[in-house]
Amino acid sequence: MKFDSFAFISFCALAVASLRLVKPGMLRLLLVVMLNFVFVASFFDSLRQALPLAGFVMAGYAAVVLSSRIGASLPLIGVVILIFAWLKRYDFLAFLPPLHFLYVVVGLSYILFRVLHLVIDVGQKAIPRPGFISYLAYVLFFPTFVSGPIQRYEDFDGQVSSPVAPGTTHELYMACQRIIRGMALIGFVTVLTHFLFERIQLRFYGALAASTFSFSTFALLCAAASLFAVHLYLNFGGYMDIVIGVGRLAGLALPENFNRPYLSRNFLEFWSRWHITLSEWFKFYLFNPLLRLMAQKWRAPSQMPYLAVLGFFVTFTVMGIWHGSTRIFLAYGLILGSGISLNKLYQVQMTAWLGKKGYKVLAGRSWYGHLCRGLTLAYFALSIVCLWIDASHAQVLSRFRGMALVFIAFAALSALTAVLSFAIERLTARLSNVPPWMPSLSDRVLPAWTAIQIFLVAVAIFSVDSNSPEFVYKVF
Amino acid sequence: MTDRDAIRTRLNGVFQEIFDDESIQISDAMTADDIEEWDSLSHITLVLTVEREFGIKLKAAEVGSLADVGAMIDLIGSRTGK
Amino acid sequence: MSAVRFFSLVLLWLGIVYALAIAASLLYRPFADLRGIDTAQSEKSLFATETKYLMFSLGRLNYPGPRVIVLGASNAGTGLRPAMLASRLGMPVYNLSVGGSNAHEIGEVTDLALANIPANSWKQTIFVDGIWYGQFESDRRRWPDGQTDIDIEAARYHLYLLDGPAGHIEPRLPPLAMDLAALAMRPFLIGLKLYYSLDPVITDVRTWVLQLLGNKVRVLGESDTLVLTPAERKLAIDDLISRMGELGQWDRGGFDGLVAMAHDISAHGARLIILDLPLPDWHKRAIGYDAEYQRRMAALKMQLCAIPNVGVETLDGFSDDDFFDYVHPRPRVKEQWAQKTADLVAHGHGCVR
Repeated sequence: MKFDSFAFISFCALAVASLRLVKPGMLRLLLVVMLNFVFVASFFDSLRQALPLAGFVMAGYAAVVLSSRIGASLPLIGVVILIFAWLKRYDFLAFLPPLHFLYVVVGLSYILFRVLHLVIDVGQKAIPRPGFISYLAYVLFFPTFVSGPIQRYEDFDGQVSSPVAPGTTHELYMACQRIIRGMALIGFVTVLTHFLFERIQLRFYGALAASTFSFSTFALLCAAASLFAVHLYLNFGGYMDIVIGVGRLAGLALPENFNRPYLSRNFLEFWSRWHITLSEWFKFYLFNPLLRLMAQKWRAPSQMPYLAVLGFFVTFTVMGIWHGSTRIFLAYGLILGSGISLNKLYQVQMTAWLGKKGYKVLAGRSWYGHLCRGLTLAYFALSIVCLWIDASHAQVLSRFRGMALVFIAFAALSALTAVLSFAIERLTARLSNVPPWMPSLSDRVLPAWTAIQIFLVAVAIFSVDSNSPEFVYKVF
Repeated sequence: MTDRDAIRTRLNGVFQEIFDDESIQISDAMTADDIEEWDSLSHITLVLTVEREFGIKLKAAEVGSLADVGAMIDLIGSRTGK
Repeated sequence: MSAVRFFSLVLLWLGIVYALAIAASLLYRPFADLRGIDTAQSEKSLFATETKYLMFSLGRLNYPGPRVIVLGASNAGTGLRPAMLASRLGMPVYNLSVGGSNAHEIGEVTDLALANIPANSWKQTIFVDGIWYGQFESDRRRWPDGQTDIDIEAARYHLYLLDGPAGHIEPRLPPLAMDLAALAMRPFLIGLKLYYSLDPVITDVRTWVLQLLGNKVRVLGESDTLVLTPAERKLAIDDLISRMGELGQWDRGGFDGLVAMAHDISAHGARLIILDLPLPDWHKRAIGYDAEYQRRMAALKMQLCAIPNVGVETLDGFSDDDFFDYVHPRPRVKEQWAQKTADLVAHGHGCVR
């Protein structure tokens, strides 16, 4: 079901109410499982479409049980991943016969993470093996089913087994604020940004077809890349707002996925602020074990930074590949891996040249900070071109002239973003003296103010749900 | 000196070595936010050094989710049977 | 306060805010849409678009008595003015034309009109369908997504059934309930209206910016003096050709639809005048469609005339200068359009050999 639909709102209302009413215990777990089934079922038109997903969930539990007996063996983990890759039709498994009917794999990518986390941690005896009902409640948990956040089983279990705290008025209000903001972003703001982006994308494709190397192609690439990055942040962030807000009302504190990523000063920091639960998962289960393996093999402490560079490269390449099954996502992975490992290498080298103190002084300088931010955000915006560009145009960009174009766009976007960062810093410094425009509201006013906001957002969502107005066409 | 204090002293030595800073004095409440260079790399290096120093092996979940120094000391304590 | 109390209060306040919003929305042109239906006024109305305006206004047809309903595309809507026709025909005239519509969509409008007109008044209803070749654009080309604009509006608020029992589009609710639905939608429609009202502002700003940059911008619209340049004429023709597609592949769907609509109107006991609207000669010369259309209509004429209460007439006697663009009549000519049409409705002999 669509997130800004009446069906979803009703479902959430029902879910929150029932979860708050039912005391912790088997009944509550069963309630969660039932809610999960209803929500997941809404994505399928027929039972057959859901069979692969169901099969994977069952296979996952079998793997968890097996792991609790024989430990978290690498072959077991490998099999789970292979089944996942086969169902998602990864290119490299094209030689295997695929399933010959239409099926839907929504949520599968995130289920993989939850299953692997359980397989590994249960196998290593870090957590006790969950019962089947608990497993279903966790793996298919409806708020996080579509796009995360990836919550750890221990946290989920602890929260679901605790009674829902009554919550102060302020807490209830803040949870509602989260949901309202998310709805406004999903139903209104990102409808506009998506619409704008599509038009720019079309023009970019046109310019690229006419000439790979003209000013308008370059300008349109910059515009498309930046706009998509903004759109993705607002869209993904909006979903998270809704999901976390609903979770909070139901008594679950889901982990955050974003922490003001636009403040990032380097690519490593960026990924601790963007899709946080994803990079955390990869840190836990790929980077750390990989580095430990390498450190044990090559026992030279002075080599650790360089081992880390390699470790980051591998981890982020895999992370990129996880995003999708075609070759473009392999490229995405390599771009991420290169970016992060080069970033780390740069840091290692700078520390070697300037010494720790010298490097710290440089990093503290304002101009350096803004420049780094510019480079970081520009690199990110261009890396996610992989997420929206189609295969034929990607081919054009991967040739020499295309790469030159991308490189120049990177330079330009970095500079522009650095200047913007500087300007915003100046502006916020000036505005910090201005008192907040809204007085703090007393508890009694909060329900009314919430109702007003809901109504305004509903009107806004309604306005853009209609045929897009011609004026946006006219701007172009 | 309690066993916990003994662990803390040894751990302090590890921290000083990893972060190359003789002035570091760890406390139970200290987290990654308190030491500037405590990032993914130094974290795993710290963990590996701790494993070697105390002769223990940590699980993936433990390695990843150590919240603060106090938790680290508790973990070491439980692993070394003290 | 407890969660139950908090959310109950939120719901309560939501109801209050909504009611207040409806009341406030009634301050916007409260008496504007109470009488008559004229899609030419839709932009000024609360509903902003012609199709939305239509879907919410059809309830006004629900009263007994005679009436004339104008159907067609924007040339019919521009040229056949309700007030001018009403004064000559002595009965209410409603403009239900929709800009850019094709035969299929016009058929849907007819279904909706008949669904709202009381059954005992069908015999007193006259439909005037102003046609030109453009309306026979195939459905596949005109509606690539498979849904007409009417379908989209009908489905949007779940107020209509797209495939009702009779196989036609029909309202789900009785007319009074439709009026209440329109009332409930008002605050949202005002939001939408605000959104759409940016359109002329953006146009003006864009024109101003372009003019500032030295581009000559001509605003094309209803005018008694505007004359299209040869370049503008060519642009219009090219656009029409790309819309209609290859002449050799022009399917008959629209024409079959017209015949079906004629049968349907006749079966209801109402009267239909199929009125061929004039085009400037330069237009007819520049494109092969009009000639082919005339041929096909001539071939269909006998079949159409054989249907009871159906007449086929031609509105002619106008020169190129009577149009401000490739199909729309100038304001100064509208009275003549009304006069001639009224004569044809009253005494037309198109079907007599």
